[in-house]
Amino acid sequence: MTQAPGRIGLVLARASQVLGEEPYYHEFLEGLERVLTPAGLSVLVKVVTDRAAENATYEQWAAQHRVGGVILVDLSPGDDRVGLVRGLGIPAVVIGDPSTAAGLPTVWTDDAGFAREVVRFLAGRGHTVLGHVSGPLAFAHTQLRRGGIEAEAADHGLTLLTAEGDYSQESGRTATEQLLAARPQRPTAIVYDNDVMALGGLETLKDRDLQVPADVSVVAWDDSAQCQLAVPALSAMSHDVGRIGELAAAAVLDAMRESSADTVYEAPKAHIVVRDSTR
Amino acid sequence: MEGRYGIAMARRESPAAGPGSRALVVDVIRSAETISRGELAELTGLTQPSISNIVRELIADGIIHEIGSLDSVNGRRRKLIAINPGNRFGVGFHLGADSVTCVAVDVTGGVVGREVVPRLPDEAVVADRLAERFDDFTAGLDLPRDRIEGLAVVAPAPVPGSSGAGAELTGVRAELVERIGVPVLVENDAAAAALGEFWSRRVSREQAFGCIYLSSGIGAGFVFGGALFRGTSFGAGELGHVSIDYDGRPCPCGNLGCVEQYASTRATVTAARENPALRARLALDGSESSAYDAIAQAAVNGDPAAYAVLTEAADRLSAAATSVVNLLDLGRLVLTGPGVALAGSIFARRLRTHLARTAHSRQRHSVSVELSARPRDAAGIGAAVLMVQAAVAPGHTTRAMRSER
Repeated sequence: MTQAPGRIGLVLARASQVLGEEPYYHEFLEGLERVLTPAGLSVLVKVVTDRAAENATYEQWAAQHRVGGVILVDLSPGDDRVGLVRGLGIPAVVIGDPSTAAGLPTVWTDDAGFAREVVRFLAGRGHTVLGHVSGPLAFAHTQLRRGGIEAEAADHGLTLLTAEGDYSQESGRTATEQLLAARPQRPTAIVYDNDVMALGGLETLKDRDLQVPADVSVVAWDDSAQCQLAVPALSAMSHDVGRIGELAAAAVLDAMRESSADTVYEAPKAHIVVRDSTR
Repeated sequence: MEGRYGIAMARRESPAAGPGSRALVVDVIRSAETISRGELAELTGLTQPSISNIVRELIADGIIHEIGSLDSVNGRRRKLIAINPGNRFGVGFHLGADSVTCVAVDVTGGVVGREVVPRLPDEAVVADRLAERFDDFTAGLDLPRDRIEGLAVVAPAPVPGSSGAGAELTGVRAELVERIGVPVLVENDAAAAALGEFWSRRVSREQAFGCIYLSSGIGAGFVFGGALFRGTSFGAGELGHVSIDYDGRPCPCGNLGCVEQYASTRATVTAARENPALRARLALDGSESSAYDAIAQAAVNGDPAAYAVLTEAADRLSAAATSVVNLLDLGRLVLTGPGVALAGSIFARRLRTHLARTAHSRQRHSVSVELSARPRDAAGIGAAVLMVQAAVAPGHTTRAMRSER
């Protein structure tokens, strides 16, 4: 095969159960395919369990000419994947902050800014002790959100309790236990970095006989049908994930045409949808 | 009374270690997540020696593995066994109107890879193309052929009198087996989705389980005793053609008032486009699927007109679904398909309310209504799971559907 193949690759380094659970990636892929399928390109997602396997996948794809471009997600500061795919000569797009992309085109979401917005919202409702259940702290977007939450909490003089999860429902439960074990103060509001962990948190709060939202308010980052169906229905940081997928598709098509572009495609703004889990 | 029936059923099914015992054991391990041999004997009604033999075989085949031990109450160590996810894979292709969704799953139903490949309009279903796609997809994921249990190809059930992809598929199966060298199954998409939800949710085989697949048509699938219910000719589950009005809208199938004419994603898009203000506000003139997603997104974000269109569809679907729940005395129902990806909460809430008010069984047991965690890929995932089930818990797939290598 000498022609660039009509296929875009995306590797997710996570337990396979997580791809099963996370509405974020389903809607992201849906947006991606809305643009790429009519353009005659297919989208291949490979789920691997660790970063070493992810890097090996890029090497194999390049050697066998299996993809015409890749989309990189969950980057860490100074991530070696950027240099790797560049060295392999695969056109690539980064979903994340331009600071992690070393000149590759990016689809950028203002994680720090939106994180500040969540804290402002909760501070405005009189909460003084906040919990934040984040995704893996190795990811740049997690650090940006955590930074935004810390800065805004400090501006409002709020106490911040934190725990780290891995986006799975189980980790949402465990992290919530950790926050509730904090003494002497218990959070009156908890922000979760995704909907799946928030659903886990809701279960833990129910097990502890804590009322949502009377005792603890809950906000999920990423809205989803499951958030809306939860009892109580979850207030959520909603963003148009399908649109982010469409932008990523446009970006990767651009990257395949001209290899040197370091364009920043800005994702639409996120906003809080208030439902029954916050007071 | 329910409990007594439950136990009686489980015991009657397997009085001695027969050909169905292995499937029973796999099913019980799958739904329990981790279990000891003693508990297995208790739950299956099989004797300890039978359990030991079957477990030994399953370990040798790499289907289950021992995952350490636990102190039991009396101090004896109990070894726990669980499904071994990473050893074998199933592959499923879902033929859509303009794309093919290819999915690979491990033995627990976890997705290890997926690819959506564009499909030309009216592209014929030919063994060559499918074989090429299979080779390309599994090579892209680096899945060794000898660890792939097979390929299941699923498509919407054809309307009587038309020749859809479903009808063509049966014709290419034998050739496909020849080309790719693994077993091939053909199934309708809604039935496959039901088996996928049953398997990956670890639903117990004691449950009367149903699944509704909402798309441009409406289908359903049922799993009873751990096996997909297929009817006389693999046509079971045509929920979309349950009539909710004997004098209602005509349907291409020949009947009047089929619920599909009111509640499918196609019917919803048609209804929304008839409202000029809504049509302009949500830009509904693009493809049917993007128009539907726009309506769904607007409805959950509080657009009253979009919400009204969707609740109308949800209420009609609830009427038909309640008839099915009553007919089969279902205990658990999952909603899936692209139609519930964004607006699933509206459908699930309306259905829950409707069932709580009207289901015949409401004073005997509750009927749980859940939303699929991966509604858009459910048919492809289900297809892949069909192959996993056929391989690790054989006996649930009829010979007629199966092409051996």
